[in-house]
Amino acid sequence: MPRVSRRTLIKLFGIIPSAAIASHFSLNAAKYDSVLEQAWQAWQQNLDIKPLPYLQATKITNLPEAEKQKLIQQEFAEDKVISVNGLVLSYIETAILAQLYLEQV
Amino acid sequence: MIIDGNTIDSNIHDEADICIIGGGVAGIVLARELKDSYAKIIMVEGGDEYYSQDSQDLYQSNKTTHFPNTHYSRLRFLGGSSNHWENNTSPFTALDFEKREWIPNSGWPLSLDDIEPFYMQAATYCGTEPDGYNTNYWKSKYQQEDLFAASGKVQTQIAKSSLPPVRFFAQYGEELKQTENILIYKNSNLVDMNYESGKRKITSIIAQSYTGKKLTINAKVFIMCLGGLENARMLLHFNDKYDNGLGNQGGNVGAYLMEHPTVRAVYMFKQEKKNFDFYQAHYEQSRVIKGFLSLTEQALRQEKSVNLRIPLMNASEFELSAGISSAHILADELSQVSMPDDFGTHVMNVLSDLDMVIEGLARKHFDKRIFESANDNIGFLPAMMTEQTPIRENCIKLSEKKDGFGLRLMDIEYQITQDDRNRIWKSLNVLAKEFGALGLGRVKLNPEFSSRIWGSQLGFSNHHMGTTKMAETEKDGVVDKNSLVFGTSNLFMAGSSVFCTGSHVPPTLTICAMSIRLAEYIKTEFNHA
Repeated sequence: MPRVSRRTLIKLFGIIPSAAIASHFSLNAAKYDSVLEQAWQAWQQNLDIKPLPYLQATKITNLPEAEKQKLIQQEFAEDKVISVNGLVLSYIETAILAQLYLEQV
Repeated sequence: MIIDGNTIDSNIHDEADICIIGGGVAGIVLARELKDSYAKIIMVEGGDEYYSQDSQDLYQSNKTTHFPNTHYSRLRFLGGSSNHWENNTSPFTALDFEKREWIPNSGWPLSLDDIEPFYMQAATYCGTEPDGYNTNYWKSKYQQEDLFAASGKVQTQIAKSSLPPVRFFAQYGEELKQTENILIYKNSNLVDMNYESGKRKITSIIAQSYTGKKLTINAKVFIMCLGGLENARMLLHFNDKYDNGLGNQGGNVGAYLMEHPTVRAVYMFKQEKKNFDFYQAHYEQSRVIKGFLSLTEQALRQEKSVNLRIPLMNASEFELSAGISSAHILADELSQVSMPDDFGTHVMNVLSDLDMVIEGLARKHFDKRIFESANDNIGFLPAMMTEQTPIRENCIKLSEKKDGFGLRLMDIEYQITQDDRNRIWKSLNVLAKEFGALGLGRVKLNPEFSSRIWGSQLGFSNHHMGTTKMAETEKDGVVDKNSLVFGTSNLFMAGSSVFCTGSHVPPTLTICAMSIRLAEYIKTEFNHA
């Protein structure tokens, strides 16, 4: 099973504030994998749509970095948040993690 | 002048215009505020000018599991618990005084407007200077950014404390001793009260020294300033004697006990680029000023929740390790041969955070540090002071056990209700969303650590409030809006025992402000000498 590093995640999407979820994304891959799985479970419990179509609908991958951040902040403001093992993340953030999980398995 | 009750030769009878019972923060403020208006003020204090075991031992009680030990949480000598307070001050907010439908038994017969005029003078008493608590003022002064200025849900409030903390008798005692019309009887413990029910008047009190000498004091006005627990305990005694005629007509004396439980329930991971300096200590010559977070009135109304005092206390990756907390919970439960809730989550936390768990074991057992990154400051671990709902079941009652004067000690029944815990989680959810919406970082709520959050890690502030609460009528409280005990015309209560709700900030500034207000009222209502 391929491991997805924090660096890869940020490179791919450039939208996870690194220090903001440092405890989950530092040092070890086991932690990282568990967060991905938890994100997928949390996503399923909260939304009917699959993560990839959701991300495609937001067009987030095509946006400049500042716009991505703005969109995520807007989701927080609109209460579009999901608790991933207690860590409160926006839909987009959770969708990215969930999608990464699906791509791994 | 000061007289030691232990050294008097025989029983004494004395008279005064005003008799202040208790020489803590409220008593000292009242004595200073009233001294220029009356011919004679007597202060009766059970302790000495310094700590004494004889006095402190009278603060024993029986209590439920988690309530702080009353033998240590208060101090029983002149200056009272200001002798060990941290001197943190912030004013109450307007919403604190309102009847909030979602907070049972909330609502004062006063509004902030009634107290606010006295806050600046109160700040002077507390040594924090009368330059206010306005966030914009302090932001400008320190040229700092208020990261929550644009938020409608979370706000920055200001906390000020004196350096060193003001010990009220050390600060004001010499002046009181030198004041001709103030007489302090120390080592003199309130043991009895005489009440004429027909005239609704307290005619005298009796105090007793540790050597058995008795002191009878007649006065026009009596003010009990014995602290948030002892005010109620003594009033319960006198209600036994006078058929619940002293503020206990509704059975409210001793009920509605509140504390400020302090919880560590979230990890806050900060965005590296943001500047949180406004929330760190700013030292001036003799005081410290810092910002802290709380919910706005708008958010509290919308969420129907309670407020929190959220200090942004720096925390390292080690301190924000979920794995370490889970390891503690697993170890505790397994040592009792039981299975924790969320077993799978805890195991996963430990496995996925193994580096920090190893770091913890190395530090604890070998005094070694392994991972440099463990010390990286990555966020905040706030110890949050929380507002507690006043419920009748949280109360003090008279115990069967007695103290050295033959007076019954108190039993304390206390819990933090599930409703309150739910409201705290709700408020933290608001904080988590707002932190993300402002791009400041992310917040992790830790409900899986509930057994620790509400157990071994639960803190208390030693703030005792509500046991002789203020109300419009005797059916709902013990004192009226001027702190006059229902059923009497000349017995007042001062201190945090009269609070109807406790807010999310420390009470002493408000105790001082309300004592100044009470002094003004007494001067208006009772003829001057």
